[in-house]
Amino acid sequence: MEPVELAPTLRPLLESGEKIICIQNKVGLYRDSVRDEEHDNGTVYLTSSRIVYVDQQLPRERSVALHLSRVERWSLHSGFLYTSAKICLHIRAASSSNRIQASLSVAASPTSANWKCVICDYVNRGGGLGKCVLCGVRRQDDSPDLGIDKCRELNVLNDAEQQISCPTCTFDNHTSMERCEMCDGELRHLPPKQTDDVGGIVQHEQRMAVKLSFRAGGSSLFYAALKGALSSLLQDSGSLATVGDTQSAPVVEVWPHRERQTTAGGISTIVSAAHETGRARDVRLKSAFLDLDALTTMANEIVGMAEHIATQLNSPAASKLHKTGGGESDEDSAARVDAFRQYVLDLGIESPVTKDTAGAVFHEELARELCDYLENYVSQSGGTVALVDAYCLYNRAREFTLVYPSDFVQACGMFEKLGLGLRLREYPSGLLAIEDPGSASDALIASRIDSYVQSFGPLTANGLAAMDDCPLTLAEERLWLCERNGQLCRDESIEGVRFYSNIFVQANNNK
Amino acid sequence: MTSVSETVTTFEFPEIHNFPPFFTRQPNEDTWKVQRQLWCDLILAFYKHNRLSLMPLAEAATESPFSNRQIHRSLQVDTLREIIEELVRQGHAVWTGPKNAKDTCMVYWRKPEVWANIIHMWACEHSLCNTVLTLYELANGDDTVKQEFHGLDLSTLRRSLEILQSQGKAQMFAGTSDDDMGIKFFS
Repeated sequence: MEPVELAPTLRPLLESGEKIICIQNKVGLYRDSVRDEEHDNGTVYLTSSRIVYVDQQLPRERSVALHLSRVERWSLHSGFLYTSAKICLHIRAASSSNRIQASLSVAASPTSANWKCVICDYVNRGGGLGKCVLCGVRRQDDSPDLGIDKCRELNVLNDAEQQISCPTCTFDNHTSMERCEMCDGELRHLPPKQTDDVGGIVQHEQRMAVKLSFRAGGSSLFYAALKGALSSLLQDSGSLATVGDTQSAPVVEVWPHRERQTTAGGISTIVSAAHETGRARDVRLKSAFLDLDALTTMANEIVGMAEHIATQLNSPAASKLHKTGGGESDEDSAARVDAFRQYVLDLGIESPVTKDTAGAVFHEELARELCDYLENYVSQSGGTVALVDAYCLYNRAREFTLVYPSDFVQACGMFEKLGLGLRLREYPSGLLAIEDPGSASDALIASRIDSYVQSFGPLTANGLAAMDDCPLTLAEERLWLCERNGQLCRDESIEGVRFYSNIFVQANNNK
Repeated sequence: MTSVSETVTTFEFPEIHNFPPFFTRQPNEDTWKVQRQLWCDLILAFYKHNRLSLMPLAEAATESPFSNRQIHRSLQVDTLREIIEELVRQGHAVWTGPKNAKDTCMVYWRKPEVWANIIHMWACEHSLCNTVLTLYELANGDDTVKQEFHGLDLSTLRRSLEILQSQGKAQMFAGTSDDDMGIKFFS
C-alpha cells in the first residue's frame, strides 16, 4: 500500500486515462487477517488501475492506494451474522518500487516470457533458448506470450516441482489431484511452491493479503467490478486471458455447434433452431453495440485531442505567438483564445461518477466531483451560477452518462455539509444558484450595484445582467436583494421595472 | 418635507413628486412606511392649499397630485386607498358613503377638534355666545368671510360642532333640513 494524493474535495487525484469504476463507503481494511485500526472506516474507490482507500477521519494522512497490477489472487467471502462480507486480495509486495511495472513490461516483451510453441503447443518457460524445448522449432515472433498465471491455469507447467509425488507409489500426480491416479493413495498437499519467475525479477517476493471489509454492503458489486478491472488490466498488459481468479470457471460454449444438426427432425432440431435464432439475434445486437463502442472510443480520443490543444494553448509560447500575430489587435485575439480555451476546458470529465459506480455514496461523490468541476467556472462568472446553467454545463461535460436533475439538486445541497468550497442558495423567489461564499457575498454585490446606480442612474434587470454578465433571473434576484435591504426602490411603469437609489430612506435618515 | 407656498394660486410640489418610484407602492416595508408618510403630508398640504375635503378615490387617482403628467406616472387606486387608510388611522380623514366600499373619503387637513376650537374662539370673540346661528351662516355668512372656516363643507362643520356640543360648549338645534340646522354657543 502506498500513500495517495487527494484533490481538495478529498477525492483521489486520477492519473490520465484512469477511470473510477466503483465506489463504496464504510469499508475497513485488514492486513493478513488482522483488523487495521488505522484504516477502519473509509471510502474505497476502484479505478481502472488502482484501489484507493480514503479514510473518513484523517483522509489526508491515512489514505492509501494499491496498484491493481500487484494483486495476484482475489476472492470474495460473503458475510454471515456479525461478520461483514470481505474481499481478500493477495498482493505481490514489491521490494523495489518499480518492480511490478518492470515485471509487466518484461512479460510483454517477446524475449523473456513464457511462450507457446506454434507447432506443438508446448508451453516453453522463458525465452532464453529461442526455440521450443520439445520439438526444437525456433520461436516465431507472433507466438503468443503467456503470463505465469496463465500457465498455471492451463496446467502446463510440467516442471517436476509442480507435480505431487505420491508418497506411496511415487507417481508424479497433477497438483489438482486429491488422490493418486495410480494407487488411489492420499496425496499430501504441500503449501503451493513459489514458481520462479524466469526473468528473475519477482524472484523472492513476499506475499501479503489485504482484506476489504464491507460494513455497509456492496461487496458483490464491488467484487464484480474488481474482476472486470483486473481482467481488462491484464488484457491491456499483454496477456491473453484472465488469470488466477480462484472462483471463475472456464467459459464453456455449449450450443452453437453446427455438427449437431445432422439429425433431422425431433425435439432437438426445434431446440437447436430456437438457439440458432437466438444466436443470430445476439450477433446482430453485438454488432450494433460495437458501433456504439466505437463511438465512445472516438469520443475519448477527441477529448484527448482537445486536452492536448488546451495544454498547447496554455503554454507561454502559444500566447506569445498569438500576441505577435499580425492583422488583428492583441486584445481581440487574446479574447478569442480565451474563449476557445473555455470550450476546450468544458469538454469532458474523464471519469464521471455514476449511480452504478458509487452506489450509496452517489450523491456525496457527485457533490465532490461537481465541486471540482464547477469551482473554476463559478469563480470566472463572478461567484454565482444559476443552478440550471450549472446543470447544463455539467451534463455537457459528462458526455454520455447524464445525471438526473433531482440527483443534481440533491448533490448540490450537500456542498456545505461536506465542507466543500461552494454552496447552494435558494433565493426567496425559488431560484436556485450555486455560489462561492467567498466571492459572492451579499455585501459585495450590494456595494457593486450601488456604484452602478451612482454612476449610471436607474437600473433595470436587463442592464444589470449585461453589466454583470450574468443571467437575467440572477440579475433580478440581486436587485430584489438590494431592494429588501432598503438600498434601492422600484419604479413600475409600462416600460418595466426600474430600480432607483432609495431616496425615501436616505431622506428619512437625514432628517 | 412638504413646503407649501402661501402665495395663492399654484401649489408647489415637493421635490419627491418628480421621483418616479414615488408613484409605485414599494414592496420593502420600511421604504413603504416612509413613502406613505410622504404621501400623507403631500395630501394634507395639497388639500389645505386648495381648501378641498371630499375625495372620490377613483377620480382623484387620475388627477393631480396623484398623477404627474411630466414624468408620466400616476398612483394606483389600491395604493391610494392604502395611503388614505393611514390618514384615517391618524385621524386626518374618514371614509364616507357605504361602510365597506372605501370609495370616497373626507380629508381633514385640519382636524375637527381644531376647527371646533377655532369656531368657539371666534364666537366668543364676537360676543355671539347664547345666540342662535344657522350652520349656513357660519359657513357662508358675511360675518365669517375672513375666517378660515368660511366655506368649510357642511359635514366637517357639523362634525366640529358635534364635538363642541359633546364638550358642553354649544347646543345644536334640528331644523327641517340640514341647512336649517341651528347652533347656540355657550361661553
